[in-house]
Amino acid sequence: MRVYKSSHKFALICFLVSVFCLPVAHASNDWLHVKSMRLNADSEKLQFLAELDFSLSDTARDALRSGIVLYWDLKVSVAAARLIAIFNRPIYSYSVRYSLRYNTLFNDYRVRNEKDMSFRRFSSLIDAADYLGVIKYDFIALPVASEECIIADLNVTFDRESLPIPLRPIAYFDEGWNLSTNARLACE
Amino acid sequence: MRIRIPFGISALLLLAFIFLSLQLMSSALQEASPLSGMYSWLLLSNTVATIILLLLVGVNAFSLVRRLRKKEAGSRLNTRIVLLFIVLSLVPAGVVFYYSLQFLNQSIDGWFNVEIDAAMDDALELSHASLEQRIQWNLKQSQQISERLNGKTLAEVTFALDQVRESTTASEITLLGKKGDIIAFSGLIASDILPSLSVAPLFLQVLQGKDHVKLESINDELVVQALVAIAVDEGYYLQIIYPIPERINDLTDSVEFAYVRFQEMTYLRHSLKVSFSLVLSLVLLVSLLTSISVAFISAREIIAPVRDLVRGTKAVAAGFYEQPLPVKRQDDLGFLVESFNDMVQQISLSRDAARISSMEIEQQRAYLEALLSSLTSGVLSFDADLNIRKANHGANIILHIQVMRYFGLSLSSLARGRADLQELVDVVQPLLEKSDEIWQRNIRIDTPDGRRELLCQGSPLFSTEGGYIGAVVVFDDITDLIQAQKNEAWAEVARRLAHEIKNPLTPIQLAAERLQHKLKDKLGDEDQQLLVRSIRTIVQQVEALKFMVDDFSVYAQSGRKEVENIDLRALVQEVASLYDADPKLSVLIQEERNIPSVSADVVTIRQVLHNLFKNACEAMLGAGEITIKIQSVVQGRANYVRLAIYDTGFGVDLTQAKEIFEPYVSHKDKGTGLGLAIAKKIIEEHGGTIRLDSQYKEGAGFIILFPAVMHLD
Repeated sequence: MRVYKSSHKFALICFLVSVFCLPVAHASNDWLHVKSMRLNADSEKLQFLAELDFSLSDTARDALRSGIVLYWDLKVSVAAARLIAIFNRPIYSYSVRYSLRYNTLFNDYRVRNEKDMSFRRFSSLIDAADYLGVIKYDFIALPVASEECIIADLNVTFDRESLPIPLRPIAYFDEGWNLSTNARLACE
Repeated sequence: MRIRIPFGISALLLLAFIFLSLQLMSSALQEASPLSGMYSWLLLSNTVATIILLLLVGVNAFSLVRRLRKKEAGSRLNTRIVLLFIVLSLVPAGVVFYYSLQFLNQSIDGWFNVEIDAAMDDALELSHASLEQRIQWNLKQSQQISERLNGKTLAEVTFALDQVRESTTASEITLLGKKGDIIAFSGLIASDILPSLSVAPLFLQVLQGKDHVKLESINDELVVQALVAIAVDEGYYLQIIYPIPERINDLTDSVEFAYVRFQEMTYLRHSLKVSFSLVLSLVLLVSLLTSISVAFISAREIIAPVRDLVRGTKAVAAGFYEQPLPVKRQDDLGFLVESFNDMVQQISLSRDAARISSMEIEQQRAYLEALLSSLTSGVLSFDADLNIRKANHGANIILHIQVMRYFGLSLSSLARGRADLQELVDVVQPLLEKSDEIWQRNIRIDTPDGRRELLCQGSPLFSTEGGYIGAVVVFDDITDLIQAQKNEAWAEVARRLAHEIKNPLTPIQLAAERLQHKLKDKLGDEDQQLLVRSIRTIVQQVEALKFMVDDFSVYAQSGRKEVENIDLRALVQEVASLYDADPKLSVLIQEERNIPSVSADVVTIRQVLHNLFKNACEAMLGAGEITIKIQSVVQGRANYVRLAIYDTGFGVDLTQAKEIFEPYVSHKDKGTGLGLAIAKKIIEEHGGTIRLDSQYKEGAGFIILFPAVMHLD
């Protein structure tokens, strides 16, 4: 029965390769880009500014026009850098979930903040994308020493699991659904 | 310690997991299901588990192919069973899969036919048209209100707002200034002091002199927002909000929801097909893998007794009967295994019986072998074709040939290497060929030990059924027996000679001498000389007769006298020194070191040596060379001292060599013929042998063997 042992090993290797390779294979972001990121700090507050090229693929546009709601999770985190990354001191973290949908009756696009349920209506998709592409947060910072290095991370993650069920498996393999991006603003 | 998880358990666990996962995935396909959020993970886990199962099955298939190539027991049957299972499961599952896929695709396509699509568009358009009509009616209503308020003062308009609102279906009326600032407000709910909708996005349009009307929603309720100018003083504006009736609102929502849902479903049409096909394929694959796994497990269970049987057969073939095969089942194969165990037990018992019988036969054979080996008689057995089949050690000794080399060959082949056995072959072969009666013959053969007399007895052999199966020949070397008989006869002759002849000789001699003494003086010279010559002749012949009778007396004497361990080498040197003194003779002694002593009577052995030396001197006419060789030799398993005496005389005619040791045989004019006979008798009384060395051609040569006395250290 030696062959079974080797087959188990082989199966385990295949499993691990498949598990680890799948996310890696689709980690590239083709549609969303961070054009700029800035962190303004003064004595009282920190201001995070980012501008995204919030383009949508044809696949996503078609889905949106067909009434499918798209969701993004946006997370901004600011930390004081340490020598080893896992020991970075968190200063500020903010996350919000946005949805973008098309309203047939009013023929407009609505961006809703799922956190406070407020929404804004846009007559065109470009306007809605421009709105989503501008990220600006002001927050009162924890005390930061002048010699400390501040880093900021922006993660915009498209939530595939919020898509309708038949679309989910395809969304993992179709590049048109690579609507996530991330960027880090390192200290100078 | 290596932990092995059997394929069956692994496959069953995986299958259980996959079926559970498939069930969960089926539930997750419903949008409202709490498991819908886990759909992707369930699909992934299903896929991974299926791949693992596929690998396990693949490994088993590979293992099966490998066993098939090695032609292992049961592998072909195993392959057939697995293939049968695969075919039996693949065909129906494939058919079901194909038609399910067709049905699924047709059903999904059926949801989205042109008529439904057009109806949905028409419904939406109707909804839009209905709302548009409502909006236009509300605009017209607003313009009528504006006309009613034109020309009034601001205060009058302010006070008239409530009355105007109550006279229409409006829910809110707001009086706005030129800059959009709120001057007065009238609403259904008294507590409301501000308008529900902002006018800012529309105000620029109204400033350009155009009335504006728009569909809006307040708290998910549809309303019509109208904005019209009124000619009061410098110019003011009215924002009037008209609620859409609840029924229309609900219908509009319903139509919109259905339309959006239909659009979404239309968009997901391909995805739905792919998704369902994926799930269906997964189910098919799992079903197939299940059947293949079951095939492997079942085949293994079915084949196990067969493999046990093959293993048992090999064990039996290798001679192992002790370990019965385990009977794990009570079906036909179990019965087969039980029968096999019974058969092996029977074979084992038979084998043991055969072994015991064989051992008994072997013991009998060994006993016969030992018996034959211990026989001094030679035994030759022949098969039905008269080829030599068996011979004992006695035959080798008597015939001076390794008979076993001629096993399977005819008797005549013995004479090919040994011409002196031809006489034996010539006599025995015809007798064997007759093969119907017992026979007996005396045969003489020449061997390196001299001419031997054999007493041969032959008998045909018959099987218990009476068939001729060969013959057996038993022969004894009776040379010594005949010789002993001859010796005994000659001893009797000698005793009679000594008694009958020697006694009268002395009176004859005395009478002759007395006659000479009485007549000596009475006869003349001539007669006297005749008398003296005659008397001398009588006396000489009497002396010769006495000498001959003495020799016969010696020959007739039997038994050794004073036996002791003697150094034969010293004795030879002692005797040889007497003859070496003669200048005409040359005595050469060649001897080995460490010659063992012999047990002998020194007086009689000295006599033997004297006889041999004397013979040699006489054969060489008193001049020549005598060579003596003393060696220690081993013949058979016994040690001997070998004494060889060679002279350079006239030698011995080989035709007469056969009788040279016979009494009263002499080649000399004056010999009694007893010298070599006495020597032979004395040597044989000491357990030794003497023979003529027929290889020596330059004279006469005799070889004597004395048993050596070996001292145990």
